[in-house]
Amino acid sequence: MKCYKPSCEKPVVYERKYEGTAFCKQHFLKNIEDKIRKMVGKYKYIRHGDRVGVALSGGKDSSVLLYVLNKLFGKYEIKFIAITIDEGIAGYRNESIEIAKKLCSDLKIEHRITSYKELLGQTLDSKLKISKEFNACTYCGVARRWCLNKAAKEAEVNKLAVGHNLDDEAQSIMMDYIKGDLPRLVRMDPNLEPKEGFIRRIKPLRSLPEKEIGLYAFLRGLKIQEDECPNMGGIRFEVRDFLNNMEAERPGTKNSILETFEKIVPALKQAGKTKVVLKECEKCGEPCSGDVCKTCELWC
Amino acid sequence: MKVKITFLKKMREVDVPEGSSVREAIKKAGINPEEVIINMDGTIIPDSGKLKDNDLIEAIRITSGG
Repeated sequence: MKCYKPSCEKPVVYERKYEGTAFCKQHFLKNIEDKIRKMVGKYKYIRHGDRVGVALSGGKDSSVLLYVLNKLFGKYEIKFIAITIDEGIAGYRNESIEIAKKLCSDLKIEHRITSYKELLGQTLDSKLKISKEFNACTYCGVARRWCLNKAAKEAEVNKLAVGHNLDDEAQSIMMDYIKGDLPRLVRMDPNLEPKEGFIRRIKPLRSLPEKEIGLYAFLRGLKIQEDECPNMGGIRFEVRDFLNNMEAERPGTKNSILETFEKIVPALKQAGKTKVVLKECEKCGEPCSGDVCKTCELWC
Repeated sequence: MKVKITFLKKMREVDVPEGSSVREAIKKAGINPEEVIINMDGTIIPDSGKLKDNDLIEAIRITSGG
């Protein structure tokens, strides 16, 4: 295949099978940036005057997110603040935090680092030594959302950008179907206005496959951490492997899952299946649907 | 023909028919093409790239969280 640009003779680095197109390095990088710009415009994710927190783990998705948002919008009246949450996973998170620090230094972006230890009183490693009821991802996922929301409020940002990509979205949609969790499914609607107490989360990478983000990072010279989280496990990784196998044989599977979700979510909301009344957590004061939020329930 | 593939700092060697593509070789090595990008001699090559006997490619994993 040749690069999709008619006059381009440069060697192809990527073939986008779900579209039947191919790209040289230059046009691939531009295409990814154009897609992110369109996603931001489509959902009005970022506007003049915004203070945007960018959840930055130092992994490839969040690094690409910060790099591209800064490239596209850094020259406008928009303030970006990178927020890193150290879960306290020995032998894994240390490396990516160093990557995060270097990226912020190179881009001259304010960087705030906090941790589970600081905000919740213990690291994930120490939590997992004493709590065995749920898998690691349950404890970590709940805690990370809580810590990011708290850190975003402290940074006084009005938006929080997260690096969720097409693979993440397709996996979450499938997991919510499998578990029959309709309220959770509807909360993935990108048009959803946040409830009081929550900073609006935006997902500029949500239509991009993980592979394309990894390739973008590599071609831009951004460091990629190849190690996987040592705690990985649970249903998400079974769904990930299933979807990757499907995509390899049936290109476009993940796009189809996301597009179909976006078509049905208005009907779910209209059917009133998803109304949640929020209160303040009795322990920490953060918004939640019960008397005590999930983070306090699992961590305190 | 034999193709050498490095993946997660380990070398694997696979035996594939002449004219096989990168995709065919890495699938033979048990690696899902959706989870890696391929580097050969410092250049990223697409999955459809054709390999020759004794080629050495590096499969870089990108599904490691973001």
